[in-house]
Amino acid sequence: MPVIETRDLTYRYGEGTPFCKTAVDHVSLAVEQGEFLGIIGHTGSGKSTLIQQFNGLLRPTSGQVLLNGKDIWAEPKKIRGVRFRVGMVFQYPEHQLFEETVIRDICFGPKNMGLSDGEALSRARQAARFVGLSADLLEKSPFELSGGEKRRAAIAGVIAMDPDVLILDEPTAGLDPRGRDVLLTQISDYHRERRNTVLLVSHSMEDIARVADRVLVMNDGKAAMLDRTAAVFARGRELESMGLRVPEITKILLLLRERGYPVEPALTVGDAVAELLPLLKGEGAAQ
Amino acid sequence: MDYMKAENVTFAYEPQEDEETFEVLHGVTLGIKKGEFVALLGHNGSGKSTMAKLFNAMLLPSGGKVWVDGLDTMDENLKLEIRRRVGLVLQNPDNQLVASIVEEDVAFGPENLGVAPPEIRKRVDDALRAVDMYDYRLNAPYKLSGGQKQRVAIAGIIAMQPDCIVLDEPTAMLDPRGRTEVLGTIHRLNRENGITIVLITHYMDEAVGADRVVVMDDGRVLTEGTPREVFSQVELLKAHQLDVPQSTELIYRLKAAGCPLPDGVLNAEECVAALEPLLDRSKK
Amino acid sequence: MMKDIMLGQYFPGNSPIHRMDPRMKITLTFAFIVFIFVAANFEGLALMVALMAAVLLLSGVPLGQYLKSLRAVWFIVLFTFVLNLFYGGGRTVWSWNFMRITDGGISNAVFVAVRIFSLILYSSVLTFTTSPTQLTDALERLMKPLKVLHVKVHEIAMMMTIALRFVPTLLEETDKIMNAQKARGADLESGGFTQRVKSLIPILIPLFVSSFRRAYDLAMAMECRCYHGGEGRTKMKQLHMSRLDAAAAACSALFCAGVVYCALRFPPALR
Repeated sequence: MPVIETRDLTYRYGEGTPFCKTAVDHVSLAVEQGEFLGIIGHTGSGKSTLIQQFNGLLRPTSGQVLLNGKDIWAEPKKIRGVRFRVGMVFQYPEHQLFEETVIRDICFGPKNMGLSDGEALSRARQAARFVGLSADLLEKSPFELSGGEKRRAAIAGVIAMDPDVLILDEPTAGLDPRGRDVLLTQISDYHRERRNTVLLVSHSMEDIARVADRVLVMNDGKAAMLDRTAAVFARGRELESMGLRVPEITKILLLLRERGYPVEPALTVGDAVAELLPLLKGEGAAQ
Repeated sequence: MDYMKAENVTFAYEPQEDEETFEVLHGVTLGIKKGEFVALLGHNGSGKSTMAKLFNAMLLPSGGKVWVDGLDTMDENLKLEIRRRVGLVLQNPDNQLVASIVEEDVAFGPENLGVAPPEIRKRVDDALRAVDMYDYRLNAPYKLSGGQKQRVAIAGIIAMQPDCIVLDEPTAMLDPRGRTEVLGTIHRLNRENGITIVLITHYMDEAVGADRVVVMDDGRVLTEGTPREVFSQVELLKAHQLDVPQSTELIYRLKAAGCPLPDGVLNAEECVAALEPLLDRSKK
Repeated sequence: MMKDIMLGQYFPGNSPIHRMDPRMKITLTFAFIVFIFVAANFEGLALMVALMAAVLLLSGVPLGQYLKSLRAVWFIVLFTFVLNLFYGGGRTVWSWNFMRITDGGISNAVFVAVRIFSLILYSSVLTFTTSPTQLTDALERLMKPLKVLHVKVHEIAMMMTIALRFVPTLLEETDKIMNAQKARGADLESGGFTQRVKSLIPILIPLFVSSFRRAYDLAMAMECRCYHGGEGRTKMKQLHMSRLDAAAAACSALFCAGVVYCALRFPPALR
């Protein structure tokens, strides 16, 4: 059974006013348990609106959102409970830090769940470990941390709720290449260890190519593509017509394929090297 | 003759309480020529943002000197003149806009300089046209996208008629469309209006379009040269945990595996052009 | 959307009222409010109401918007109305047990209600037809004489401009922070008074912290654009008085004189 499923999901802003806009347009999709799903789309394609309906922050105008087969709005009063199982990390999450110490801030989510102090603390420590936050930082005020550390503390705050589904909206926004690299690796490791489902919204095709099993492409409120990562990025021209691009390395191989060379579009430089080397060496390798 | 020059500059922030002095720049010598488009590349913490603020006298060097068009940034009296000549655009588009209407925000700079009102009007209109935001002159900033806000911020600098614009990671908070808009704008200003541009960034694909790239690491200049020269030094960059474009890396790794490929490949098209002859040869 | 709630909503337009110099508008609004209280009887008040009706119609803003602005005070007006109704003087018109309504009470209640409505409506005309920037510009110029008393007029005006600029941005940010905390299970809706106040802490602290950061960034950006206080600053948008303003001032003076005349000639309404 898919962990999250939407049936004809539609969301309209400003219903009844002259500014009515359909942000999500009859989207039906299924997210499989345990997968790492990348979500891409031009600005205004409905990505943010879509994910905010997965954890009940927004209520669908029509259609359903099912969590493990059950409509999340079946009991509207209990919608808060959904947010503990579908955790969401917003863009620039460090802006949400407020507690006196980092560890107390990470405990905010678990405490809201009703866990005891002891349980919340142990969850928080584990979450801090996942994001690579060293123990000596935990007793400091969150405002004393560096930018990258703050971001990790904020992400830990959501991971500590131990959600079945973790949604991250541009978690690497504003980070330098080294920072991106480290964070993506941590998220990837977390996913592997915890074996839950992770949804990653990003504008960086390289990031998505690196970590996602499948990719959902949103375009003008509709789900335009949902397929294995390699399959989605192989459709380079289509993506470009939607205002998106493919990872540079994929583009190189797609261009070569268009010119008749027997190559598969790779997702990482390593894969591309593996693709090309045999062809380049052929018979008679250069010294 | 350099328009802006940093001579053996060191910089340390004022220590707080019982902390030790923390030196951020350890002897940087750097020259920017008039009309150049220079990209300053480096990690967070490499000192590149500090350099940005030294060039317009927002910060003063702890040691060494910074010269702008022959003016010493340490001279209090020249501070305003230096800031008029060298504009600085910052990372957060929102936190640079002062007024509730776009054209009034662009007027802020010239108003501070005491320019006559009719002249301000003209400069504002020209500046907005230069960044392609003239149609939005009566809009409120909060209704604009990130890329549009950043362009308004740039217009606000242009209205002061600077010789040079320094931009400190101007696209870090923007989406791909905003990044394209802003980069297109500054390249156009450089080409058509002859404004010297110093672009501080950690995105290599932005550095690739510059005339010259200066790479900073750990408060020092690591290497500099044309984009091709710099990105060819893949080992050096990787040793300092800096990235290279994927095209460059691909060629580098294939070369390392024994394929005779040229240096200095910077993008997908060049990469394909470099690989094709070799693939054809191997087919035979 | 929260950010659409603007304080004193501005409706752009090209009516005579819109085109008036904002300094004149502020001064006249102030004068009108004073004269509403100078009006001692229904005759005088009728003059002010007539003037107000003329101004409302001239402003070109839909009357429905003016009615909306009255909605905010209907409770106060009702309360005052009822209070005056039962505690006036004069001849008893209706009674039941210990409650009496007198003709004096009715007259007072109506008079006070009309006064309050007029106050709101005159202020609304000002804010509906004058953009926030025009208002701050006008206030800055009107306050200039206070410089003699070492009041930092320019700095105050600058603060008002920046505050107005950031209100919608801060509202947007509040939305974002609320969403982020709700996503962590924050419950902003339920619980008693103390509970609800406590639940605001995860919203307010991040908001404060980010506001300080904004202020720091903004100050730096302003310095980069050669801001150095009010000395030597010019303004792109100049305010000019025109014949329209002179005409408005003359008409208003006439009405106000009329109010004084009525106050002297006719008996007072409040007893």
